[in-house]
Amino acid sequence: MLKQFLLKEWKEKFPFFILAILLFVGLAALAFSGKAEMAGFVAVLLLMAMLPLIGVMIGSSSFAAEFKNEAWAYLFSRPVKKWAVWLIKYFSQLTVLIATYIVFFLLLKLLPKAALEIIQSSSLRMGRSDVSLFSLSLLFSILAFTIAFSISILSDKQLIIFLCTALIGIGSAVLFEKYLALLFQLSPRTRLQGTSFQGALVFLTLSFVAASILTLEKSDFSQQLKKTWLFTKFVAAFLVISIVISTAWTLGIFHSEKKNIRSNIIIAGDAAYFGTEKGVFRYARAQNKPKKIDGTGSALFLVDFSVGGEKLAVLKYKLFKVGKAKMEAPVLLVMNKDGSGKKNLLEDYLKKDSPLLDQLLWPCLISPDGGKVAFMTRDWKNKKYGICSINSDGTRLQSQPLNLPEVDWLRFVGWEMSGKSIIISALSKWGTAESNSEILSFGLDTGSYKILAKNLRNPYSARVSENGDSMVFKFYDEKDSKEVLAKVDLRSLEKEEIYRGDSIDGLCLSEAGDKIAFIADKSKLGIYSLPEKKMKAIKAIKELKAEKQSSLSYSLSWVSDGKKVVFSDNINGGNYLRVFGEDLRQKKAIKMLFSPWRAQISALGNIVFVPNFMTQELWTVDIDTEKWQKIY
Amino acid sequence: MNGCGEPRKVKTGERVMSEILKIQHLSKGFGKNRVLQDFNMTLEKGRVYGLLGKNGEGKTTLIRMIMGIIPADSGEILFKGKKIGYLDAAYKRDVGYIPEEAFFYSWMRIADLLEFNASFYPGWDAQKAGGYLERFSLTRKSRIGKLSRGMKLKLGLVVALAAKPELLILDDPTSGIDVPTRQDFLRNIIKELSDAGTTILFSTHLVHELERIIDDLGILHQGRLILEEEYEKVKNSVRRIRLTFENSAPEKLDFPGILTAKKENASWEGVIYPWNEGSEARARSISGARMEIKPLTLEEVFMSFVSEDKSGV
Repeated sequence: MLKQFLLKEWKEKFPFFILAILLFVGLAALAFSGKAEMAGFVAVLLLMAMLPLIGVMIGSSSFAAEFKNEAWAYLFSRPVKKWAVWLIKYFSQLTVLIATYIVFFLLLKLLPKAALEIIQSSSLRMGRSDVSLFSLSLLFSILAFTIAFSISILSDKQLIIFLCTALIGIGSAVLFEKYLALLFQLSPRTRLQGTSFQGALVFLTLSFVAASILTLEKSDFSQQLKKTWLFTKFVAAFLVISIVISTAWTLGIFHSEKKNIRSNIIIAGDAAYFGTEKGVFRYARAQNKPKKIDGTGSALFLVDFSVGGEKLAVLKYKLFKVGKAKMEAPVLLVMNKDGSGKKNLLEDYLKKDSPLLDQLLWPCLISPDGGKVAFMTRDWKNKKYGICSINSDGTRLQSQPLNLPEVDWLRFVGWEMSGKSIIISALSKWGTAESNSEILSFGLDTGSYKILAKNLRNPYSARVSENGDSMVFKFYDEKDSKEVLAKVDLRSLEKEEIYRGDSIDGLCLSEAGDKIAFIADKSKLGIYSLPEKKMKAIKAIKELKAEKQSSLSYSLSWVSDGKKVVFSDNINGGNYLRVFGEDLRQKKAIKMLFSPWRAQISALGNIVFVPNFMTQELWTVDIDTEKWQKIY
Repeated sequence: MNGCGEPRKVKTGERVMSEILKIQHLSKGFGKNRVLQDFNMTLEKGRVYGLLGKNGEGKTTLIRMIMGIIPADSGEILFKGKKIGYLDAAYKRDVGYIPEEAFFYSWMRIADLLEFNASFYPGWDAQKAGGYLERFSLTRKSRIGKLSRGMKLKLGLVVALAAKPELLILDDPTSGIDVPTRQDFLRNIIKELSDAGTTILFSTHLVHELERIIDDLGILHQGRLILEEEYEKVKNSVRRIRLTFENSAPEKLDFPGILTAKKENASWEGVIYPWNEGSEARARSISGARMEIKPLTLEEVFMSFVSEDKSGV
């Protein structure tokens, strides 16, 4: 029965398939004969407009053949369930739509590369996730087809079905936009928006499927008005149900998903600080467990925070009501290190004359004494960077443009000790072989800058000492193709070479800023004394995993108040935290509880913080007792 | 009803046969228009049942409910003793249906329609289908859209018969088709089927067609079955009586079982059902009247039962 029924449906809809393909080929030939940009544009148009339109055309004619001469009465007098009739018709015609889609998809492969890139880049940005045009086109086409198909049980007048589908489609789009805004507020992490959006489309489609099947099962086909009214009631009921399920589904995902660790661990004084999708946490040495000191912000932007003196600065975005509209606006909070005494330094941000309006603010860095906070700005329109500073009490907001050519990305490295300049790492030509980083000292009062170092290759390979008097960094010397570890005195700008070798990994400044530990040439551990300006020790470490091609670099950390160095390593296939004294003798090897072995570790006293990014957990291990504890 | 009393539903239970279709208290309305009300009907296996009713009386509505095409408002339908619901489909394997209009897909060829239908019926007899095609001079390659109404009726019959149904329902199939086709259909095919033991429900408003083929008769009028009886018995117990008086006829005619009555000068003419010995005695007891008694054709029987003119009763 199924085979014959499918054949009947396919034979009925075959002309649509041919028509659609001819339409595609004709339009595509017209466009592809011109420029690649035009071809790309037309292909996007075909994907987003033509395919749904073809879906509506196929769907709206679904029951038309049955309505002609009241063939439905004949069909329903056959020994087949009505829902089976519906499903067979639906899926057989859906295959026609999907076959059309596949043929069109294959036709796209013939396009020039530039045109394909246009299509691939034309994805819908939903929060942090992209919904591809192909996926959107397919979902929209199926939705349009389903709506038209569902309505087609009500009338044989295809034009009416077409118009009804268009009306319902527009109505759904408006409702959908409101619904997504609601979802956004319910689950303030935009990562969910992509899946929520697609999920909601699927639920919307299923609503029409359910309403249509039930109408077919329950209604009297000979009574047009009753049938239409019943269908309307079913659609309304299922839409409500699907909204509820979709919302529950979104929230379910939101609550069941792990809240990721979203920052490095900052060690300051007697506490460690880390940021997650739940907020900013403080782990005090004495308390042995983390305490949330600030909640999460909007999902659209990352939360950034830094610690200086007795203060903590947090930069995040929140949803504010401006008149009738809602908008995301930055909040720069300065608080005591325990989270008390919060003050928003950007309360005037939303005022019309605010110089920061239309600027993206991120990241922030509080000065070592906690008296000032610097943050970067980027204009939404002209994409130009600027650097602002503001006193921690909210006074003296200064804004300076940063006129650097070809900058793709910027980050703060640290404060210069006078508090008048800030050290910035600037990355250019990101993603290319010529990618390069420079280190600049930027005057917050003057807006001028000095280049301190070039050819860093890695923008993260620079450290400023706690008091801001010196900076260590590594750069690549093209003359002898070596990596060089160097120090610059931030007062005199005098440079000093520390080590030159094939590679340098895991730079780690001691908290006092007097020593630097590093892995050299993938095989040696070195410790350099900054005040003494000499290498205290460097020697090859037995069984140091020498993976020259590894993209992961070693993570080193000073432990036991600067008396020991710890890093994670792989010994004979096992993962260990290796603890070395200043004499470079291994004191201990603590078996790791999980992989990967090159975790980004930090240490507070004897406590080493080891994040597990696979499970989004944060563990601590006491290097004296070797006791592990999960703190997040 | 009116002067002639309540709608008559007579069932003499002398024959003991198994019921194939039983309809109980079935009601159906469209808006405020009640088409069927408390409708009851019984079909016995192996017999030809003629369901008569005027146009628009609800015959097609009733058949569509039996075939599960439209739902009933209330009541129940039992097929072979088992209650069937609007959503049931399995029983339709044993029920052949030829609608008033041949609702086929016009783009199909005859062969496509046969293959399409064969897939629904496990007991499909392709050989039988082929035999009927030949008999009706239908060719497999013909496109259905190009067939005449008579040809479509024959095709519908091929489809229905190839499925080897236990019950065949014909919904006014002969209206609007040419006389030779109709005659062949009624005289030959229906008879063959009947002889082969297929139960047939033949619904029509062209009453005279059924005269020679039906075993049982049902008359649908104003939403109810006002008569359900073995046709032979009806024929034997319905009479037209004419009473002619010497001087003038009385204003009203008081007679048990009178269906219709009409006064003409010095005479009364009426249809009596059931006509029996008592009826004859009663007629003879009317003084001063000369009596003529005549049997009725099926058409006359039908007209008497559904006549709106009851003024003389």
